[in-house]
Amino acid sequence: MMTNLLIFGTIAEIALVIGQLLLKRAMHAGRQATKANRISHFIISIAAQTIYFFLWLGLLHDYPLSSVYPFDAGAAILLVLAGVFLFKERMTVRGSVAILFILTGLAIISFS
Amino acid sequence: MKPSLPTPPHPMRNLMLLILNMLCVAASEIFLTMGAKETTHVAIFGVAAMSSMMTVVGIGLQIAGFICWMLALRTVPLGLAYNFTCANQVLVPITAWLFLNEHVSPLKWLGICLVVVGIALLVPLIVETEVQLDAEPASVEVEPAPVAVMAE
Repeated sequence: MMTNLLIFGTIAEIALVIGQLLLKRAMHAGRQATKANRISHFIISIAAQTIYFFLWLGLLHDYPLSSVYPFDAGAAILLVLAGVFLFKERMTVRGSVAILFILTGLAIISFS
Repeated sequence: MKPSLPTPPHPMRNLMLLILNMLCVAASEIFLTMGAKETTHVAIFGVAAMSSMMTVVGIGLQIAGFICWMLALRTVPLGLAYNFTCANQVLVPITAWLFLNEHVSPLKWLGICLVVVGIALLVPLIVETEVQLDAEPASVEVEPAPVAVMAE
């Protein structure tokens, strides 16, 4: 049962990260892009997040909410790294400290 | 007559959008859990849970949260926005504790406190993104203007 949680939880999170990255590309106000380019990114993003959603719904049935939800912590780390490396987002010291606090808190919530 | 200037966005707009998103998502997680538990058989793709009214309400809240998220994502950096919405990690265990009678251990409360401190540090950075948008207006995609044909 725990193997299922790990496998499907990981697939769900990968789908979520891909979906969020494409959504950011579609919505980003400062980005030069054609309308068709934005729409295609948006559609693929919705498809990826739909896969995430239905996997998530299935996992919620089999496991307690507090066990399933911490999978989002992995997605949070990946999205911060993707923001810095792919979108050249500026990360200040204050922002880094805040994220460190949040991720430490999430780790404690996950493993307690 | 002077042309009317567009109203600048409210400085707290992004923050309000992200808080609305958090509330919608936290509430939807509770409804989706209740909907999933109501149905007797759910495969790994939880389509069967769609027959429950709770699931339908949960999906409605997810859509409302998604719209707020899309609008905020136009200007807020992805890393900051996503971590800010991790405050759901605080809201979900608390609501699960209140409404689903799930146990929250003292260590989990410590984790919740750390997340709250992190969120408090992120708030000014998210408000700043709106100020930066005012300072650096986003590039506007210019569509080719239709060629006006003058009647001879």
